[in-house]
Amino acid sequence: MNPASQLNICVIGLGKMGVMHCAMSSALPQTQLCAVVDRDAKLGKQLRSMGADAPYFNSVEAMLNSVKRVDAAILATPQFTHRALGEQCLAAGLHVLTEKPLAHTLADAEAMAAAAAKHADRITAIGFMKGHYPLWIEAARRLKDGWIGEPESFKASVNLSQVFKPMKGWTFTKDQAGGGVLINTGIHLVHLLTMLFGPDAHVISAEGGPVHSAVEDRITAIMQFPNGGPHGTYSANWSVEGFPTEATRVDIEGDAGRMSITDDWLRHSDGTALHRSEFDRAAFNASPDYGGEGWYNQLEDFAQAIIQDGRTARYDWQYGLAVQRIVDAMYRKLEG
Amino acid sequence: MNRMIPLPKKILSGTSLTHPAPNNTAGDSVSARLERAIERGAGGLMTLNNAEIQQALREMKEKHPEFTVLPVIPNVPEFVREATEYGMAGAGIRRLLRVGFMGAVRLGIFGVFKAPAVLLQRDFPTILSVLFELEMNEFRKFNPPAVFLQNQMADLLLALNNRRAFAMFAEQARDRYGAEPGVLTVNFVRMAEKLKEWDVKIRLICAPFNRDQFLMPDIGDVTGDESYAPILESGKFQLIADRISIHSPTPDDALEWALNSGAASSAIVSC
Ligand SMILES: NC(=O)c1ccc[n+]([C@@H]2O[C@H](COP(=O)([O-])OP(=O)(O)OC[C@H]3O[C@@H](n4cnc5c(N)ncnc54)[C@H](O)[C@@H]3O)[C@@H](O)[C@H]2O)c1
Repeated sequence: MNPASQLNICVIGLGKMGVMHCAMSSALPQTQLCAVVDRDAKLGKQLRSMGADAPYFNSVEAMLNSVKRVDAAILATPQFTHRALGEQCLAAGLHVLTEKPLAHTLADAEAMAAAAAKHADRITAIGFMKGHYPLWIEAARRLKDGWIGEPESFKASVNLSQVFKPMKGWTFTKDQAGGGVLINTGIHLVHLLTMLFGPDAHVISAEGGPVHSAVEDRITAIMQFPNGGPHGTYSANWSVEGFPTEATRVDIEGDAGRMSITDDWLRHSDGTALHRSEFDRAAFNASPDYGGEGWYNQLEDFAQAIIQDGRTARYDWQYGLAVQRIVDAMYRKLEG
Repeated sequence: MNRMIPLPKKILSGTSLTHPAPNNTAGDSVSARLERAIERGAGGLMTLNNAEIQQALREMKEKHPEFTVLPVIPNVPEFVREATEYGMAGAGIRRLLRVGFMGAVRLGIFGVFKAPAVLLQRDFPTILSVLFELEMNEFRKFNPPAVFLQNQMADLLLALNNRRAFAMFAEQARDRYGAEPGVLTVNFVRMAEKLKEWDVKIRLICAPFNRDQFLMPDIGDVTGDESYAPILESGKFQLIADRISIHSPTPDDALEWALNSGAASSAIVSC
């Protein structure tokens, strides 16, 4: 694609996710990296030495003052900064893709959704990259088309071997992250459940808490989706052995059959087994075992929404708020 | 010149040793699984640095002196876990601290006096080269004929167009260890084209190659496997077929297919 017609993307926050977004913005034909921002100047230097070819700034203001054309921002800072930075970018006329969760608190998430509604001409998106896996999209489509009849119950889990001792860093603090395994990792699974069953859910009960760190390392909840939707259990645990990479699984019982979904396989109780290879077609994959296809498709979806008039991103900030409401309800049950 | 680098045809994946397929957990220790894989014809192991695997390799070294060990560097999953707490440079410095100052001197980490400062300066190819030295130290006793850059790292550096990191990696593998440099990638075509464009001498590419075209995306109207053909015909690259089946453990017919295809010199299998 000719550079003049590519979208100019700036990435804000150059930690682990920021680096990934810089790589994706460089790999996708519709986009180019035009600027990078982080409070820590050393990270700007590090990113340049990783190959990124874009000017560095230590604040969003400095970037906006210097870079002539910026179309969109990707926000890859910790969630306690999302609201201020997100609102600043929208006010400056940028489209914004924010990493998940929308914010560390429900109040901030609500304010962000309101800001997005006020700037309705800007595209907002949230980084639920698992929702861009073609296999999960196919599962949701089949479920809706009655593959197993009416869904009656489900069992959903996500497991990861990550936390086995007290941990340092903002990710493991209630103040800055908003919680532990649920808001940092398990939120993807909450999002997948909303893809399957709809954006509202009633949380009946929740149980869990810290094991090693100061935030919850495991949580189990019982949920009910309204309007005749299914009920089921949700569990997230990042302190369990045997899962070097995140393992997600949803089993659904319908009145005409059962289905199970993982990141690799979609199975039906009649013996049908579909592997992700039938659907994965991204032109560039950064890491298939860590959400590779999702990162690319997510950015492509965001770019297409900007380029094509009248389209929204597949998961915008309003959607991000709906998911955050469920997460918040789980926390309230856990605390209550 | 189309020079073939001699490697075993059937190479076991290290990840499948520590995390075998749920339907194939017979042989409860890593050593037992490794022994079983060798009995079934695996001539080598491609692995990240992992304490259990290192232990199993040490135990079987005398019994199977011809067994080939192919290190994959760096151990990105472990590094990312540490980086969540300490940041990337911090994670590198912690590794260095773990071997200690004298350990680093013994390893001959070039510029050991400067290594922490260099890490703090955040020059990424240098961070990578320090990780390379630290991890290769664990592998050197097995005289690996080749060493591979881990796939997420390689693909990230590929997306960011980082010629220097690949060039430094290749040079370090050859000059410091007499090993042939290789890369793991899930973006075979783009990787090969870039290495050629950059004139970085890395012949070995370990990439997805399977009948299902899994992780072999079409390029325009050209199907995944068709897009591999001209690159391999150029004779500049040697393909090690990875992810040869969507099933685990790897079925025999998938291995036969990959090795009989004429495209790959070796294939990675899982147990
Ligand atoms: N989608 C996923 O699977 C996934 C995985 C991990 C993290 N995340 C999310 O991505 C976001 C970033 O996570 P991370 O692990 O990359 O964090 P990180 O701590 O590695 O990096 C965050 C960076 O943001 C910078 N920063 C903080 N405040 C800033 C400000 N006001 N202006 C500019 N820079 C600022 C910090 O200096 C740091 O370099 C979080 O919201 C996290 O929840 C998503």
